[in-house]
Amino acid sequence: MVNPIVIIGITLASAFFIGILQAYAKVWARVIFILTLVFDLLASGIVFYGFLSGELARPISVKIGGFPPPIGINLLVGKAEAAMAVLIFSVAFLGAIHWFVKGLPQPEGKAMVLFLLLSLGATGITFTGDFFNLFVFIEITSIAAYGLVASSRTKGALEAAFKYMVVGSISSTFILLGVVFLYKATGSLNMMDIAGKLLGGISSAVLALITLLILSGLLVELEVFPINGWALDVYQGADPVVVALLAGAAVKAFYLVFLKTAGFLPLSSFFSLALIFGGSTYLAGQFFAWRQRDVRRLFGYSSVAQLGLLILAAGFFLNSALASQSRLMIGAAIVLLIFNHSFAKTSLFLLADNVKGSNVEDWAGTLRGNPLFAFSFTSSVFSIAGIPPMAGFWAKVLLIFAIPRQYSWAVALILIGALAEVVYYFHLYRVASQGEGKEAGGNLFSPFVSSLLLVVSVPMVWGIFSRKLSIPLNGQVLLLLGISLGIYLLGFSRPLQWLGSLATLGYGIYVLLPHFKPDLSGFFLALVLFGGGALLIATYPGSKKLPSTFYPAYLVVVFSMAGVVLSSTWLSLFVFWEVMTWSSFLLINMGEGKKAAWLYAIFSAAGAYAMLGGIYLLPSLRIGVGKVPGLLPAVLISLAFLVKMATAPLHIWARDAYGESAHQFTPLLSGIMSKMGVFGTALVVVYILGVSSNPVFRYFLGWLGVLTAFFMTLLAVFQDDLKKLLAYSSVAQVGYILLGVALGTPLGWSASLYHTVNHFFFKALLFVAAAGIIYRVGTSYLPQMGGLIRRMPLTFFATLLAIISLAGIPPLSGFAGKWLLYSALIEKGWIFITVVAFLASTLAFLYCFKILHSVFLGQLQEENFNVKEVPLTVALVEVLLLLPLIILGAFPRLLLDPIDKVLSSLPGLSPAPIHYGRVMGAVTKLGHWNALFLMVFFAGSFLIALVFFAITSARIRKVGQLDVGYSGEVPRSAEDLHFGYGLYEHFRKAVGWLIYPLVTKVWKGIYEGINALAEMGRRIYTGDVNTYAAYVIALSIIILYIFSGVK
Amino acid sequence: MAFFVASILLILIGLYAVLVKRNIMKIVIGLSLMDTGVNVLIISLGFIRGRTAPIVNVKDLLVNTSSKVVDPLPQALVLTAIVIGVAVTAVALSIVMLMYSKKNTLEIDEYKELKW
Amino acid sequence: MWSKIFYAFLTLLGGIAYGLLLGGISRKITARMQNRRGPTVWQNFIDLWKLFRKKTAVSHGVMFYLAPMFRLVGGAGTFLLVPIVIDSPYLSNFSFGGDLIVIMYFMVLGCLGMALGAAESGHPHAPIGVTRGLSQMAGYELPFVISVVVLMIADKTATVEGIVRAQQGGILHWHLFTHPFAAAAAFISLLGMMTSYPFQVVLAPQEIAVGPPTEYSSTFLSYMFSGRSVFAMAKYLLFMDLFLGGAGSLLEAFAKTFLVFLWPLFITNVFPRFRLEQSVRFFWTWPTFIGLVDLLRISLMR
Repeated sequence: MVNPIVIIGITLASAFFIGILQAYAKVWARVIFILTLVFDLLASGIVFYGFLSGELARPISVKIGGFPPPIGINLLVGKAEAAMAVLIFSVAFLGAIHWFVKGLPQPEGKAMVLFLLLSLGATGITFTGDFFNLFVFIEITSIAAYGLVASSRTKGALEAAFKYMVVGSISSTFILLGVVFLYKATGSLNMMDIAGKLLGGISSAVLALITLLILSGLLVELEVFPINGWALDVYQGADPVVVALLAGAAVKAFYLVFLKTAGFLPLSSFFSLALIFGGSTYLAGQFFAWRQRDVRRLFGYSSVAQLGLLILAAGFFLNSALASQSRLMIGAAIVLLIFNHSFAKTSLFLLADNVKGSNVEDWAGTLRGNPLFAFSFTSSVFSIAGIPPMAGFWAKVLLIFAIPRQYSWAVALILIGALAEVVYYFHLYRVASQGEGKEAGGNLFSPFVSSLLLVVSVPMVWGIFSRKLSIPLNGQVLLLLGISLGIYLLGFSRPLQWLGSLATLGYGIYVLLPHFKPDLSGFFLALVLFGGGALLIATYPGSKKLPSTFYPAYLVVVFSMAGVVLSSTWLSLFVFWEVMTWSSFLLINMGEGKKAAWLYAIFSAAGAYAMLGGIYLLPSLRIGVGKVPGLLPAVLISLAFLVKMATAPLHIWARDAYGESAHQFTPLLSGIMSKMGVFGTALVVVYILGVSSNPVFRYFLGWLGVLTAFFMTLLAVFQDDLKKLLAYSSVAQVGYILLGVALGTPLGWSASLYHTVNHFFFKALLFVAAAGIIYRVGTSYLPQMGGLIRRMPLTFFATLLAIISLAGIPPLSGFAGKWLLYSALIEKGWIFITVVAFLASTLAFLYCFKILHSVFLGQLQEENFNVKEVPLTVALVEVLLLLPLIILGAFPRLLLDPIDKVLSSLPGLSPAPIHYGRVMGAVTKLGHWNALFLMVFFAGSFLIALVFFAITSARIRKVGQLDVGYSGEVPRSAEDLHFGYGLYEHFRKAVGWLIYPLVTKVWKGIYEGINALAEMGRRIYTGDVNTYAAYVIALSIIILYIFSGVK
Repeated sequence: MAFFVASILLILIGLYAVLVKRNIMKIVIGLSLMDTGVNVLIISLGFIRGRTAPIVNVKDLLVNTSSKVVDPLPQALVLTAIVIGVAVTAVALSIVMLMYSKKNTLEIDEYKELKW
Repeated sequence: MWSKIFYAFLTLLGGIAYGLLLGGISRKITARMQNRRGPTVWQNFIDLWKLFRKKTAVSHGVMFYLAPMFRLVGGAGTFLLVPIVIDSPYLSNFSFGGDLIVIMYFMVLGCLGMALGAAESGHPHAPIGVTRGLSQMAGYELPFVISVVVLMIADKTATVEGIVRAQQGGILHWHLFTHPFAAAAAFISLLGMMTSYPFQVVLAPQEIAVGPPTEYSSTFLSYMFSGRSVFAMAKYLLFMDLFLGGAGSLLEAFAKTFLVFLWPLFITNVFPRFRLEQSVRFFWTWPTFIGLVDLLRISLMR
C-alpha cells in the first residue's frame, strides 16, 4: 500500500528538481513532470482501490515529523480523499497532455513547477488532518494558481490573475484568522481532536463565529454568488488547461474541505447557510449564462452554478435531521456530480481551446465534419445538463428524490435551474451544429479521453443507481437500447445499417412478444414496434445524406418508447421518456431546423422537469398506487405529455421541429412519438385524476384539445411548406385525441384510441409520401410543386386515401374516429366544444385540398418534368399503410374490439357502449352508422356509374396539360397557368386576425424578459477589483452577523 | 491590548487600501499591510504578559518551561504565515510588473476588460 | 333487399328529375323578376340530354375522368341517406346506413371528388373556384353546426329519424318554431350551401366561368349536372327533416322541399354579391350569434 505522504513528497521533490533541471535538460524536465503525474495518479489509484476492495477499512492517518496526531501534523486519508486525489491527478494528467500537444507556456519549466504545485496543493488540501496545515496547502494552491493563471501573459490572463490574487488573499486572511481563533478557543488544530473536544461540549457562540470565519473564506474559493466575479474572469482569461485544472480539480478539493470543515465544526445554521448560498449561486449562474456571448465565461457561469448545486447538496448531506437513507443518496449524488462535472468541464474547456475566437458565434459549424469534437462536445454537454444516459442525469434524480417533502421548494429550484441550463447549453449546441462545417483544432486527445470516461461510466452508473433507487428498468429494453447503439459500428455502409436496424427491430418485436397484451401498454407497444418497424423500411435511401448516428438514434427512440409504455413505475417512465426525448432531439437536429431542435429541447426539458417534480410529489412511484392529493402532481406530470402532443399553448416548437427535422424521421415523430403524449395523458387521467373525478380539470383539458385542433388547423390552412402544413395538421389531430381522453367516458376513449392508431396510419403515410416527394423534387415548398399526379400516380393515390381518411370522410377509416368522438361529445353534453370541433374539422378540408392540389394537381412545372415515382421502399410503406385505411374503413371493429378489451382492463372504464347490429351497423344510444354498408354502397355505385359512363360516354380525347380553354389564348408555360401562391388569401382576409402569433410572442416575451433580468443581474460583476473585494468583505460581515446567532 | 488595537488598525488600513485605492501598487501594499496586521494579531493572541520568547535553549527556561514562555504555537504559525505572505507579495509584484509592461499604467480602471 | 335497391334507384331518378325541375323553375322565376322571358322550366332536362349526347369529350387525366362519378355518387349517396318519408319502408331509402353525423361527412365526398377533378384540369379558374367554395363552406358550417348540435342535444339523438319523430304532433312542434334561432341560423347557412346570392362568388359565372367545373364539357358535365341537382335535393330534404317536421307522405315531401327551395330563391334575386371575406365574416357573426341564442338556451336548460 502506498503511503499518501509519498504522493506529496515525490510531487514536491519533482517540482523542485524540474525547477533546476529545466535550465540544463529541458527534455528530462518534461519527462520527470509527466512521470510524476503518472506516479501520483497510480499511487492515489492504488490507495483508492484499497478502500474499494475493502483492504483498507479505516482512514489512513499518517503522522509527520515524529509527533503523534493531536500535537503533530497528520494526514488523514479516507475513501473520499483518495477518490478526490485520483480525480485531481486524472484532470492534471489530461491537462498536462493537452499542454504538451499544443505547446507549453513559456518559460515552460516554471509552468510545469507551478502546475505540479497546484495539483500538489489541491491534494494536500484534501489529505490534511490539521487546520493550520490546511491553510498552508490552500496558500500553496493559491500562489501556484495565481502564477499559472498569469502564465499565458495575455492581458486578460494578467488581469484575471490580479483579481484572483486580491480576492484570494482576503479569503485566506479569513481562513487564517479563523484557524488561529480556533486554536485559541479549543487549544488544538487537529481536526479529529477538535471534533472530539466539541463533542465534549465546549461549543459556544464564539465557536460558531470562528467556524463562520473559516467557512466564509472557503465560500470565496467556492465561487459563491455574488463573490464569484473573480472566478468568472479567470475562466474567461486564463489558459484553458489551467482553468480545467482549477474548475475540474482544485475547486473540488476546496469543496471537500468545505464539507469536512462543516462536518468537524458543527454549526446549527449551516443548513440554511448552504441552502441560501447554494441556491442563489446555482440560480444566478444558470440564468446569468443566458446573456453570455463569451463561451469560456459561459462555461464559467455553468461551473459556478454546478458548485452552487453542490453546496446546496452539502446542506442536505450534513443535516442530521434527515433520514440516513436519503443522506446516503445525497452523498452518492454529490460523488456523481463531482465526477461528472470535473471531466465534462475539463473536456469543454479544452475543446474551447480548439476553437478560434471566443464568442458563441465562432463555434458555428464546429460539430460538422469533426466527429471527435462532436462526440466530446455532445457527451460533455449532455453530462452537465443532466441528460440521460450520462451520469449527471442520475445525480439530479438521486438528489431530488432524497430531498424530503418539506423542502420541495428546493426541488423546484433545482429543476428550474436545470431548465435554464438546457436553454443556454443547447443554444451553444445549436450554434455549433449549424452552418457550414468548420475546421476545429486537432488537439482533441484530452477532451476526447475525458468525455470517453464520462461515456464509459454510463453502464456502471446505470446499473448501480437504478438498483439504488429501486427503479425496475425493463432489462429487455435496456438490452435492445444497447444493441441499437451498436448499429453505429455499421456506420461505414448505410444500407447495412438499414438492414441491421430492421433486424434489430425484428429481434425487439420477438423479445417483447410476451408484452403484447390487451391492455394500455400492449396496445401502445404494438403501435410503437410495428409502426416504428414499418416506418423504418421507408428511411432508405433518403438516409444516405444523414450522419451515421441516424439509425442508432432512430432505434433508441423506438425502444425507449417501448420502455415508456412498459414502465410500471413513474420514475422508470421518466427515465425512458428522457431517453426518448433526447435521442429524438438528436434526430431533429439532423435536419435543417437547428433553432427548432433548440426549441424542442427547451420545451421538452421544461415538460420533463415538470413531470419529475410531479412524480416527486406522488405518494407512490408505482403507477396506479396510492391516492394522489390535490391537482398539482397531475398538472405537472401532464405538462410533459402536453408538450409532446404540442398542445396549445405549448406548441410553438412543433411546426419547425416537424417541418425541418430529418425527413426520414418525421413520420415517426408525428405518427408515433406524439402518441406517447396520449399514452401519458391516458395514464394521468386514469391513475391520477380518475376518469370520473376532477371534471373541471378534464373539461379544461378538453378545451385545450379542441382549441389546439382549431388553431392548428387554421395555421395549416395558411402554411405553404408541405411538411410544416402536415406538422400543424398532426398537432391538430392529436388535439382531437386529447379531447377524447379528457372526456373520460368509454366512448370518448374509444374514439381517442381508435384515432391514435388511425392517425398513425394516415399521418405516417402522408409524411412518408412527403419524404419521398421531397427526395425526388428537392423542395418542400408547395407552390413549386404541382401536377405530380402525372409522375407519381401511386403516391397520389396513397395520399388521396390518406387525405380522405384524415378529413374523416366516409367510407374510409378516418370517419370512425370522428363519429365516435362526436357521439361521445354529444353524449357527454360538452356542447360548445362540440361546435368548435365540428368547425375545426370543416376547416381541415381546406388544407386537405391544398395538399392534393398543390402537390399533385394543377400544372406540372417544367423543372419537375423528369421527376420519377418515389423510391421502392417508400412506395412499399405507402402500400402497407394504405391497406389499413381501406380495411378499417369497412371493418372498424377490427380495431374497436381490441380497444374494448383495453378499456375493460382500465379502472373506471368499460367497453364502449356500442351495440353492433347487422342492418344498422354500430348503434349507440344516440345514433348509428353502418361502415360496411357505406363502403359497399360507395364502391358499388361508383363502379356502376363508372361502367355506365364508359359505355355511354362520347369519345374521350386526352389533351396536353397546357390545352385548357383559357379565354381563347394559348398559354405558353405551365408556370403562368398554375394557381399555387396564396391559395387561401381571401380566407386570410376574413379570419387572418385569428392566427396572429400571440402565443409565440408571449413565449418570446418571456424569453426576452428573463434575458433582460439576467443582463441586469450580471452587471454586478463590474470587473473592478475594489468592487470584488468590497463584495467579499460585505458578504463575510453579513454571514458572520446573520448566521452566527450572536446578537 | 495595544497589540490588538494596532493589529486591527493595520488590517483596517490595508483593507481601506484594497477597497478604495485605484492604483494597483497601492492595492498590493494594502494586501501586505493586512497580512502584517494579521500576523501581529496572531502573535498578540499567544502573548502572555510577563513571559518570554519560547526559545528553549536558554538555560533558565529548561525547567517549568510551560509557565515561563508565551504560547509557542502562534509564533510558529506566524513564521509560516510570514513566508507565505512574502511569496504572495512576490507573485503579486511580478504580476503587477507584467501588467504594467502590457499597458504602461497602474490605474485599475484600465484593467476592467473582463466583466459581466 | 333487391327491391329496396330498386326503389332506391327509382327514388334517385325521381330526385334527379325533381332537382332538375326545381332548377328550371328557379331560372324561370329569376328571368321573370328581371323582366326576361327566360327559358322553359324543362330547360335543364334539355341541357342534360344535349350534353349527354355530345360526340366527343376532353379529358385532362385520371382524376379529371373520375371526378364526375365521385360527384354523382357523393350526391346520390347523401340523397339516399336522408329519409324522404319517415317510417316508409322504401322512401326512407338507405337511412339505416348512418345518422346525421354520417350524412354531414358523406356530403363532402362528392365535393371533394369534383374539386380534385377540376383541379387536375390545370385551369387556374378551377382551383380558384374550389378554394372559394371551401372557404365559404368554413363560413357557413359554423352556424349550421350550431343549429345541428342544438337539435341533437334537444332531441337526445343524432339520427334524422329521431329528430323527425321529435317534431311530430302539429306544426308548432317543428323545430322551425321550437328552436327558431337555430333554424334561422341554419337557413341562413343554407344560402351559403346553395351558393345563391349574396354568397355566389364561388361560381361567379361572369368572372371565373362557373369556377370548379369550368373545364368540364359534354358527358362529363352531364354527370356533374345530375350530381349537382340530386345533391341540392339532398340538402332540401335534410332541411325539411331537420326543421319542417319531415314528411309523412311523398306529397308532403314535395311540398316541403319546395318551400325550402323557395327560400334561397327569394333571397338570391334581391341581393348583390358579397366578396368572399365578407361572406365568411358574415357567417361567423350574425347567423352564429343567432344560433348561439338557442345553444345557450339548450345548455342552460339541461
